[in-house]
Amino acid sequence: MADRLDDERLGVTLKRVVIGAIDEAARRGSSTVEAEHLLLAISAGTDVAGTTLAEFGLDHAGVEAALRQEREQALRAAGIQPVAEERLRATRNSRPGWGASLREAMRRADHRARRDRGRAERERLAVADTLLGILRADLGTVPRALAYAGVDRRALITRLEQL
Amino acid sequence: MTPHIPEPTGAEADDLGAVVALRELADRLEDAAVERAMRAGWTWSQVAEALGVTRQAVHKKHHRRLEVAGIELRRRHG
Repeated sequence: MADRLDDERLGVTLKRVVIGAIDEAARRGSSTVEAEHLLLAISAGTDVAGTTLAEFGLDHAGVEAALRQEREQALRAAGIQPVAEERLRATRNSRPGWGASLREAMRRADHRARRDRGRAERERLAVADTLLGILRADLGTVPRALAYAGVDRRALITRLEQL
Repeated sequence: MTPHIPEPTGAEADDLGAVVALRELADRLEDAAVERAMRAGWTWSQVAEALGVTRQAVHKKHHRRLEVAGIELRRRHG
């Protein structure tokens, strides 16, 4: 949802991970910022969302490895061997746009679920709620990567919902 | 009735995942390959012909990026 991505509507901590996601997308040469880039950015954090991910083996390196494995498996399904990174190196210029999976993750992040909590508490859990939005997707790159990495996505969702 | 949720790594999901991965790979390979060719002194017309697209299309897609990269672009004969 476009309005959720407006700077005005994002809290400070959430804004930081969204900017992190843009960096992750740009660094990977992606023309769009997708849910997996947001997951990478969240996994790099030390807040409750980042530490919960790490408990499930998904620190930043863990998420990177899971995503790499997913792409390799997906390409192998099409009979393609991975292409060496140096052959894919290119100068990037434009800022990547918002991808559909990122918009969907923001829409699924139910920030009103904790409306009975205080403002500071909601702010503390804003990134965890966004992470829930990413994890609620049953299909696509992120659930595929987590499945290949042997991560129990349902258990992770339950854990975050109990925060 | 709860709708059936397919497995994210089932046979159909693998084919669809392959499409996503191939698109991403093709986009990145295009960016890198066009840049390499232009650094090697290819013209826009030559790159376009090799890609099987119009000169306008390839120019529009890559011109700004390569200009920012500081690549000396050959203007004569396009």
